[in-house]
Amino acid sequence: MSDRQETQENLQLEVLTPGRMVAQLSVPMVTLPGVEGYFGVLPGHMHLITKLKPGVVSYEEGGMPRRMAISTAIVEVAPEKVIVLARSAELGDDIDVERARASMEEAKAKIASLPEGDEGHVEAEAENLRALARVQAVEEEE
Amino acid sequence: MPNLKDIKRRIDSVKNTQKITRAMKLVAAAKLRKAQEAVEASRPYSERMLEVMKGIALRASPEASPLLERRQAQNIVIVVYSGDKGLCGPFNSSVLKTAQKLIAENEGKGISLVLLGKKARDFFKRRKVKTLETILDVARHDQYDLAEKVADIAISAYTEGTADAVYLVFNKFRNVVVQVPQTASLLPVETRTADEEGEHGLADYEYEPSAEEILEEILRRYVISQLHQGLLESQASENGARMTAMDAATKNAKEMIDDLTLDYNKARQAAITTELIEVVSGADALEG
Repeated sequence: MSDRQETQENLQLEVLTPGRMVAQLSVPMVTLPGVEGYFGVLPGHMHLITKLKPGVVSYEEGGMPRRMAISTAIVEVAPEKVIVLARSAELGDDIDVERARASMEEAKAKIASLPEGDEGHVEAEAENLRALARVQAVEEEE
Repeated sequence: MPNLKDIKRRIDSVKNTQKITRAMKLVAAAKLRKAQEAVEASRPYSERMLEVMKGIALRASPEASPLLERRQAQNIVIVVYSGDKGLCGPFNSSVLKTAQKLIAENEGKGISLVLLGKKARDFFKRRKVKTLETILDVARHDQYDLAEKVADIAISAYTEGTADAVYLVFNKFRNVVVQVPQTASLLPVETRTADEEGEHGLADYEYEPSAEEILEEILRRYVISQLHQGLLESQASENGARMTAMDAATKNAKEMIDDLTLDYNKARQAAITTELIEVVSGADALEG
């Protein structure tokens, strides 16, 4: 009985990138950066497969709030688990916020200098989003 | 009689070679360790990707995505992972031989190649096979970006219809001594093996934005992840093969040094003997 309670009350969260397994833990809830905006997932959520945009994944670990910056990803949500397959993922604690800010400035300068529709423009916009996610993963934690 | 000086010179030269092979072995060992770690670390992602891909693709009809659609193979693309450097035993030759065999098996069909590494480029330069893309200095690229680039070439060839099947030929890493050249089928995406037939498809999934779009995205990422895994395996194989080859070369050099040292000592002995005989016979002559 208690076992069932346990699995019902927690989600198995996995965040994976091609380079490594970034997180694998049991959480009561997780918030994800959906394409249409942030959404929360609780245990018992319906099956869902969707894309994520660069943003912040947040959850609690041992009562402590954790924030993680991810780039574009695919997520599979099942009633008992959430699997995030991201191109990159970084825990807020590991992020060099100065560097993230610098690359954000750089990306913004590029966006301003290149015409819309240019390949570099699109890339710079993506870079800007990624850097923004990293800054946010750090800032709101403080 | 061999000249003492000549033997000495040869010993020194072999010793120098041995120094180089030993250094190369150590470098390869360090790189191998890193490459093996990279293979291990990327495994959970590709396994999960496979699960998610299967979960959705098994429920989709083969028409749901052009990447699942099986066609009569008229034109094929072969991706070949080789190395940029030699001195790594059979690493390059075995993968190139496997590719060559695959080409021979598909005689009569249109074949185009995507080549990674200088060795593949040099090999196919002399043989007249159409090449879509050649990528050099493989180890210097970000491996995932490289896999993405190759995947996009393969996927666009497949969706545009210029290829009906895409294969990957690479060295699979078994262990430090054993690397197996392999041919893997990339496209169309293989979704089911016989024993899995009908096991999935129970849970009702929701897809956002749409099943088709998600399927497309997942299949693309799945192909990238396969190419990425292959790249990492190929690199581990290359360093494993180089380490083994350089270890053998270092041992051979040692044997050679031992033999030459024996020759040297013999020659030295002979020289001393000759000198002694000369001295003794000189003394004899004086006495007599």
